[in-house]
Amino acid sequence: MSYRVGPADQLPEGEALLVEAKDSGAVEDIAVFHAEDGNFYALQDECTHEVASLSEGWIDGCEVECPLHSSSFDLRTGKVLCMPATKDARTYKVSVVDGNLELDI
Amino acid sequence: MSSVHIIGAGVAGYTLARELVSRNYAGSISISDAQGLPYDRPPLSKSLQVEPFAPVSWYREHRINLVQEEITQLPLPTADDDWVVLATGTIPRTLDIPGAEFARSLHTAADARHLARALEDGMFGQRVLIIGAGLVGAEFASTARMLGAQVTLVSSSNAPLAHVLGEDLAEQLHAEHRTHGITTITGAVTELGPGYAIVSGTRHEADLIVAAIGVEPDTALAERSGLDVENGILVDAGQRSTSHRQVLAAGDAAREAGQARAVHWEAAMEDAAIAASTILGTPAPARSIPWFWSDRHDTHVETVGDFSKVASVVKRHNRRGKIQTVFGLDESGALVAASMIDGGLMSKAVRKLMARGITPGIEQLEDPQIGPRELGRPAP
Repeated sequence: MSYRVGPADQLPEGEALLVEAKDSGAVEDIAVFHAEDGNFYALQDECTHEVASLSEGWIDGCEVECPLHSSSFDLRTGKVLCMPATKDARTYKVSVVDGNLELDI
Repeated sequence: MSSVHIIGAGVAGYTLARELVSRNYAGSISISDAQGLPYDRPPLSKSLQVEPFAPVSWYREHRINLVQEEITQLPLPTADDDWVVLATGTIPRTLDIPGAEFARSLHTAADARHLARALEDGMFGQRVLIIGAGLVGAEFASTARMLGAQVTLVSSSNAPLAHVLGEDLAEQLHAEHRTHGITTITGAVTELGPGYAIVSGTRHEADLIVAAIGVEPDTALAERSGLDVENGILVDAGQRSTSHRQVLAAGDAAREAGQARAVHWEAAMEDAAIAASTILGTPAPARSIPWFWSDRHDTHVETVGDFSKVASVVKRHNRRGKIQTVFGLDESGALVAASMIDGGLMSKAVRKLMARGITPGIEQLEDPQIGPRELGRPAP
């Protein structure tokens, strides 16, 4: 199933947006990132450490740092790169179709 | 076969094991600690929770030998590829007053479990008296209050933590204890007894007394083994003991010769990553700008940099007129520290600015309209 997030050009590089489960119908909130390699990635929004929104994190290259305790995750693989989190984040596929971001949920 | 024997299962000891595993160390790894399964300390005072870093199965999977034992004699390595790593952490300071034994500390998983039980078992509105309003004292006060206790927080100053938060934010945060229903007293505790404390000449009844007056590096084992110790186990930049090539020390127990002892969670992880590089013979990772956090009364507090270098401050206020961020500048006007509440991305922004040697203009720093990512950029 795919969910249309919105126009890709409205998410500038280095920024992220939150796709809430209640809007998308996905099992959880998802963060969509425009990484600094120019690509779009999506991860589970909630940090795997404590309750914090990765969509509010700091994007650096292809990594996002959690706003609360600075755990960082690889946007491409969801792999945890830095404690305090020790579990990887789930990834979602996001693609640009006719200028729109589409999220596989 | 080469081996690494880690003594101490806190964040430094665990991180070292994790680094060695992730970097495919081929030797054997063991971790000794009387407390057993490695756990993370920050949640102890923030929520009285004990959170292991990893389940037992993780250690089995990576063939790490976890040994629940108290090491009393340091097994000094004899071969060039055997290593002993001291990650013994700290021990809580105790009060030097009559009745000091009536105060409990909050330092280990056992302490957290004991206090959680005491607060849960006690009548609602149990009287808790906490001595010391630093990071642990303030966090425990907030936790105990949340669990329904009547909390009295005693400190020697009305701006505890000023040396790491700056005077203004330290005072504001301390005052917030009162708005959350905690009684704060500035004074000195001179005597404790069963169910009471004497504070500046006045008797206070208390069902539970906790002393949170700081910690000292646990260097007893290193001292007994004749290693160089001076406010920490002395190490070089590669975490090697200055007195034994095959002995390393990491975390709160260690101090690099000629430097101040780093005492926070992230610094302990960096020590561990550097120790792993020494063991593996690879270049050590760079250290980052110091950072720590604290959580109390739903407020997330962060400090980056070093307030001991601060000569003047620039304050940024939120809409309700509260200090949100304090930026610290040194003698030359360079940004060297910042403390903040609920800063979101501000701490990351300040670390990046400091790493690049950028000091934004004072108007930018003061202006809450300028977001963390915009700081240091020319106005559009």
